[in-house]
Order: sequence, then structure tokens, then C-alpha cells
Amino acid sequence: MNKTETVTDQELIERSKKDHRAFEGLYERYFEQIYRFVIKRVNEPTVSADIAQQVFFNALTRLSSYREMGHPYSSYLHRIAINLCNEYFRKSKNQRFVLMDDALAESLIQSMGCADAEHLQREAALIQALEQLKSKELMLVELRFFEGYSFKEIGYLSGITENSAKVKTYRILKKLKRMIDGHGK
Amino acid sequence: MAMENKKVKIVRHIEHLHDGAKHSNFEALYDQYTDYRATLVKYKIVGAVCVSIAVTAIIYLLASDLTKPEKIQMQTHELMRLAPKPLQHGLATRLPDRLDPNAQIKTKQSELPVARLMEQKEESTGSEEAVIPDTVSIDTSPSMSVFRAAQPIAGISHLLAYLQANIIYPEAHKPDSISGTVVVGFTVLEDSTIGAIKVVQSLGALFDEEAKRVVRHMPTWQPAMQNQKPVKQDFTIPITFQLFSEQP
Repeated sequence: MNKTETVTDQELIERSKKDHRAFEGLYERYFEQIYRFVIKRVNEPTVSADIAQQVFFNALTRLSSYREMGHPYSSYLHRIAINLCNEYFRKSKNQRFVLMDDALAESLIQSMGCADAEHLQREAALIQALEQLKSKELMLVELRFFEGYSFKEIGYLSGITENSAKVKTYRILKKLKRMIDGHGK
Repeated sequence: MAMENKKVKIVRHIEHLHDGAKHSNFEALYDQYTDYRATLVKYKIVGAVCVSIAVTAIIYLLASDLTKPEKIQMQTHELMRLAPKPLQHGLATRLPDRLDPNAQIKTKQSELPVARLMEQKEESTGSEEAVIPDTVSIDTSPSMSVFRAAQPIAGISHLLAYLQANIIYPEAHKPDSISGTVVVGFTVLEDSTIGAIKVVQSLGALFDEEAKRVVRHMPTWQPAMQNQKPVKQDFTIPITFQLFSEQP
């Protein structure tokens, strides 16, 4: 795979349109990334592998209609992944998982601007509040604060504009803060 | 487990997070894709495709039972549910309550024929038990009538398969690879012929012509029946044109 390392995504896409085997370059480059993205939400290795495989299958079948729209190809793949995950949850009614460690929780709490309450209590309240969010709201928090996407990318991934992604995210932060403060009292 | 009820679970650790490489298998993907392409070619879908998902029906109930035709929108799956087995007995359809103010005058006219009809039906079809529970309830409400939606004789899935197989992507537009939907409206007339084919949503002259052509020649329909009389019924079909990449 060494020879594809230096090739850009765009070149690989052009090449894959002519010869579908060339898609292997993109596959090797992004499979791990997509797999992790999916397993963080699904927490089930075999299902995640299936979904990730399906992402690339969908991408491959729609390759001819793919057009560069100012977003990297990896975002396009993530967007397919999000949609497939949502479809999976809708069909299976399985639990959604959100991966959050202490550092992420801390940074989220700081973004909300509450600093005084007891550390442990605060985090328990945060988890409880997060679990009450609607799935779309949770997705925005997840993408923004746990996975560090820019608002532009979040907008593209969830099919809304950059601006409304920003507005919605901050509205959710306020809501979370309200929920946590309410819990403390 | 108590946690199972929750839709979301926040976790601190996910196992197998870094196992992606273990599952990655481009060969399998490529095989799957090759199979997929082979299927497309087999059913002549490559290069010229229609994917038609929903048939929307607009039902006109007989003017003799109502002051004005009532439009009811139905999607394919509802049609399929209404008519799980083609060529079966009618189902009772309840008219929306909001029609009642108008229907009250009509009620007196329509009540009798419907009730009489039902009595007749009970007498004549007394042995055919399956349908009767549905239709007997009609007696209790005057503004009800027996309606069965029109349906393709061979079934809706057959119709969709026919559309899939017969639509040809206009050659002249292939270089532009336009994709989009033409919505075609048509009426299934009382004598089961197709009338009044018109394009509700256009995608350019050639696409419209092609969509109208397949609709004109589609498999025979059984007309809608109301109170055992055939009535006309309007339908719309979205026909999606999408060009897949050239043959491998």
C-alpha cells in the first residue's frame, strides 16, 4: 500500500471510478477510522464491522455520483456511517453508547461554565443529563466535545448548516447546564 | 438488566476499539460489490434504472354517497395491507368524521342502499365468513360504505418489478447523468383501463415521455369497487431515474 500513501483522496477517487479495485487504497486508509467511529456508538465488534463494511459498500456503489463539495472524502464516509448507525438503532431498537472519559467530561463541564459543584456529584449529574438528551442532541454533543469536530464538519455530517449546528450545540449546552443545576438543588 | 431500558448509555471504556484492522477485508467488499454489479447487469439495471418505492392512491368515493369526492392518500404499504390478497372481497372503509356535516343529508339517501346491500351480502355470502366481521359493523354508522381500492391484478410488487425492468433511461441524457423523479398520475377507470395519464412532477420532456410510456403499458389493474360497483380511482407513481456508472 506504500504507493498510495502519497496519493491524494481525490486522485484515488478518480482512479477508482475507472477501476474499482483502486478503491482499496481508500478502504485501507479509512476503514480503521470508520470502524472506531461506529464502535464508539454501537459497542459491538461484529455489528460495527458490518456497518463499517456497509459504509464502504455504499460509498463504492455511489462512487460515480460522488462530487467534491468542499469536504474531505473521509467526512463523506463518516456521514454515511452516521446514517447507517441511525438506521441500525431505528431498526434494532438497541441501546446507543457514548464513549466518555474523565478528561472529556471535564472539558464538557468547563465548556458549560459551571465550576463550583462537587466533582464526583457533578459528573454523575452530567451523565444522567446526557442520557436524557434526545438522540440528535446527543449526537451533536458527541461530535463536538468528545470527537472534536469543527462546526462546519458537524453541519455536513448531520445534514444541517454550519450556523445552525453552532446554535443548536450551544442551546444544548445551556439545556445540559440547566439540568445539572436542577439536579444539584 | 435494568439498564437495557435506557436508550443511551454513557460508557468509559469500549472493548475492541482498536480492532478495526482485524475486521477490515477489502476482498470481501470487492466480492460483494462484484455480485451486486452482476445482479444489476442481470436485471438490465446498469445504465438505466428506475427505483420506484411508493404508489400513492387518491380515492374518489362515489358521488352518490357523498356530496363531494373525498381524497384519501395512501402509500404502497397501506395499499398492500388493505389488499393483502388480490381479487378478494371488499373491505369496509370508514369515512372520515369531518365529512359528517355534509353527509347528514346524504346519510338518509345512502343509508338505505348501504344497509340493504349489507343485508343482501349477508344473505348471499353467508357462508364466506372471513369478510363479514369487517362489513357487518357498517350497520352501526350510516356514513360508511364498502370500498376496496384498485390494485394491480398481479399485485403491487409485480407492478414495481415491471417498472424496474422496463424503464429505459433516455439515451440522449446519458452524458449528463441526470437523476431525479418523475411523478406520474393516472386514473384506473371503471373498466380497468388506464386513463388520464399526466405528469405531476416533470424532469424534462424525454424522461416524462418515458415515464408515461411505461405507465401506459403497465399490467392490468382491477378497478376500485364501492358498494360492489366499479369506480375510478387516481394514483400517482414516483419514478426515479438514476444512472449508475457504466458497465464494469
